[in-house]
Amino acid sequence: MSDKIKERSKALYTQEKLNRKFSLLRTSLAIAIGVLLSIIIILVVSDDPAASIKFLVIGPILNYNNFCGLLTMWIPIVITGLAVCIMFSANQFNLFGEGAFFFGGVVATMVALSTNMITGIHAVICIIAAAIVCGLIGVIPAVMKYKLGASEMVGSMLLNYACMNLGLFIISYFFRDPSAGTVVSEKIPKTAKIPTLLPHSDVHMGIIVAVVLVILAYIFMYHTRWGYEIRLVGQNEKFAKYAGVNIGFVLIGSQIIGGALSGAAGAMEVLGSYSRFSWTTLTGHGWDGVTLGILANRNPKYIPLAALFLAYLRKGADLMSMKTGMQTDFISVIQAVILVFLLAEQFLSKYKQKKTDELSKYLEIAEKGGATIG
Amino acid sequence: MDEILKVEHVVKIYGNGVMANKDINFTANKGEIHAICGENGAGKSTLMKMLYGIEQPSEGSIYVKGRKVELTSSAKAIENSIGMVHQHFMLVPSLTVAENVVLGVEPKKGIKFDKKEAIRMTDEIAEKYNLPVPANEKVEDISVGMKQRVEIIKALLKGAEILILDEPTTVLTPQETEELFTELRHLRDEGHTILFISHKLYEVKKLCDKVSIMRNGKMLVTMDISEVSEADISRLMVGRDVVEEITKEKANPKGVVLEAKNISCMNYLGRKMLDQVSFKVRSGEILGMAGVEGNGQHEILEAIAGMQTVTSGTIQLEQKDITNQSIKNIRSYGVSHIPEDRMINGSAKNLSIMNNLLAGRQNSATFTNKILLKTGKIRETAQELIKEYKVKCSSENQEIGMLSGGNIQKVVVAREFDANPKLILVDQPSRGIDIGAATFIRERLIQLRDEGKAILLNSADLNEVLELSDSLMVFYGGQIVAYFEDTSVLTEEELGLYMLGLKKQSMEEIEERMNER
Ligand SMILES: Nc1ncnc2c1ncn2[C@@H]1O[C@H](COP(=O)(O)OP(=O)(O)O)[C@@H](O)[C@H]1O
Repeated sequence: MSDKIKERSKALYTQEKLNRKFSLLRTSLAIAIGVLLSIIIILVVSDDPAASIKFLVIGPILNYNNFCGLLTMWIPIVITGLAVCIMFSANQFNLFGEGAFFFGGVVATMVALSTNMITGIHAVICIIAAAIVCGLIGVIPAVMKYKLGASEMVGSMLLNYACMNLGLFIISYFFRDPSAGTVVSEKIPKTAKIPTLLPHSDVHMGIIVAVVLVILAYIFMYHTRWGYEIRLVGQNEKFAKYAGVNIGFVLIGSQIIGGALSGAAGAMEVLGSYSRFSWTTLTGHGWDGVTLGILANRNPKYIPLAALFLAYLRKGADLMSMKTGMQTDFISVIQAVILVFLLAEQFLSKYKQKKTDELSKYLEIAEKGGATIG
Repeated sequence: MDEILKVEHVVKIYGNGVMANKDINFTANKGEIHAICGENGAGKSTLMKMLYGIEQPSEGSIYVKGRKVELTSSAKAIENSIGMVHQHFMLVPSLTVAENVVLGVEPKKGIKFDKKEAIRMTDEIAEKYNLPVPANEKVEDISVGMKQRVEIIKALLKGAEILILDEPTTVLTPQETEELFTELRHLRDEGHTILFISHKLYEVKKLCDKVSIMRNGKMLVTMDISEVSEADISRLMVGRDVVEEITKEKANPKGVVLEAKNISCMNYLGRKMLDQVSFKVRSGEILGMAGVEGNGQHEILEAIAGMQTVTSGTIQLEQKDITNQSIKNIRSYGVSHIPEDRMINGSAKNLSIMNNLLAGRQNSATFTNKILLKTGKIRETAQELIKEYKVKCSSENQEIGMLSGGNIQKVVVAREFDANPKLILVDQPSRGIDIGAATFIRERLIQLRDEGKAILLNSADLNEVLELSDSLMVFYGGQIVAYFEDTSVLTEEELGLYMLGLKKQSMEEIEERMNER
């Protein structure tokens, strides 16, 4: 009797389920390998491995302060991650997130310093301005790809550096605080700051915006015709064209959204966590977005979790370095290792084919058995 | 006779879990033409791909001349004297015939390519096997039949003793097919072994010495061709008696739905693909198109659908000008399109059946509100269509790429038919699908005709065009060279003469016949 039930449940075990289970296994294994590797590095390098590992693994949730630090890190990368999800869904490997994040911060600073408005409205205007400007700049690689066939990946990478230098120029020539020793802008007025949400911490209202954006992005991608068209173009451009989708509109539109989201994230970061604009180089938030987009398999739904993982790793590493003096550079190595395992198609493919073969044979026999009975 | 090829207990499971070959045992002898028959999806191509080193078996072994071989690449297959002529030719159009033939084994004079030697090598093989080819002409300028011959020479030059031909006659006219058969018989008499994949049974019966039959991934039997009739083969292939005849009343056409006037267009190389083509399609009729591939039938469908720019002329749908409008607009006016290649234009293999069924209708008020898609309605429609079109799948959420060719085609067809079109453009409706699905789709087309749709049909399967069409146009060189208002009196042979450009009706005659109705 129980055998029969077992048989049944096994027969319901389809190839799709195998695929799903397998991609989960792949992701977890990639992450596990990354984490294991970091622990090994710590054991080899650290003077006090026990303390180091402790801070890396449970540091971020050890106390309120650390936890708030974790959340602060989580906010911007969730948004850049969403940006990447949307662009990658259209099969556009646009890496402009990095430059847009930086330039969004610049635009927000410019607007904050050159206008006067009441609290609340001021910050919102700054963020919207950053989104619009970065969205429009995002058009450049998109149009170059669509009209000239130039790789959007190369175009957007170059654009990152152009945006960084232009931004630094603007800040140092027009908004620099001459009394400060280094190149930083004047203090951002109180009216333009994003209010903090949790007391005694840097966690600002942006976290609510991030959560709302996740929900909106998911609805947009999976429950509106525009999101559907983006996915259609990403899966098979020729089919999308045949189905009447305006390809140029989708390609350019998705990259405008991507640029705008990244720009808004940069603006929120500056207005929420800094008193003045003080970046001197690209911040890495855009690259993190790419990592997250891949970890989440381009689905906005999984971005918060993926971002939590990355922020946790970062925060843990920060704490570890602070408490034990262990260098944190190796975290980027870990990140790269995880990505490589996720992107390498051959990783576990032999094992998967073996499982596929087994399942296929099992189903074959089950069918035969069923046929003789029926 | 000597056994040259032996396949033992071969199993092939693809990455998506499809077991395409189940414990195959099979042998072929030296100097025979051996047919492999089976419905689409039976696993013939899979077996051939393993023999040619494109796919590797999951289990089992392959022997050539009694020696066990590991065919891990097509280079390995060639080393072991196995050659293949693909359905879609692997030739470089801008190179000459001789250059194509020696590709991969180029003769050198010093470090330079030796053109003279290449031509000599080509001519030598051509003469030896009685396969004349124009060694100096560019491949893009020669006919389809000639291209195929070039492919055969290419394989022979590399020492192929076992030659695999994957549905070689689908692209040929009846006359070219005849020629090919003569050539193949000659090769057999020279001691070559030919594996001939086809589901045109009368060809198999006429040409081959032996026949092996596959069904559902299994090799059923191998028999001498003299032992079996066409009916026997088809019964073994399908596993039941096949009633292929579809019944159809005489058409009762009404008003003109589509009118094309003097349409011309070019391909991306600037070559003229359509030259002043004019015709009308009326409601309640199926207008068929015949012609060798690349003569304009496919292009006219793409032009009407908005996928190909028209350089001159006008296309009118119920008197509304739709020339060069966006695909979206053309669709919204009531044009449906079953594309030539379901995997390239007709579906996205990683999206669910439900998402594939929505394509082209994502803007219609039935499926979307101002902002949100009506997910419930979309799912409901998908479930209904799956049931109505008998699509074999686990649910509407299954990725379409996991279905068999016939079921994918049913999804495409369901989507296009369900859009309530006035005009249906049909390009190769049953290419590469099983008989059951093909019959289903054909019957549907006739039903839609009887409901008053206008249907424009292109098919390389002459049987199919003749069977379905009420009237028929023949294309040659981008022009309409013949028009028949009644297809019931036409034979394939006569059609072949027009398709090859050997016979032609005058422009006046065509126009008169078209307007007579
Ligand atoms: N590359 C592939 N990946 C997954 N499944 C495949 C692949 N090629 C063929 N199949 C599946 O294997 C089965 C047999 O196909 P095929 O060998 O092409 O049959 P045939 O040549 O007899 O039409 C079909 O169900 C088809 O969908």
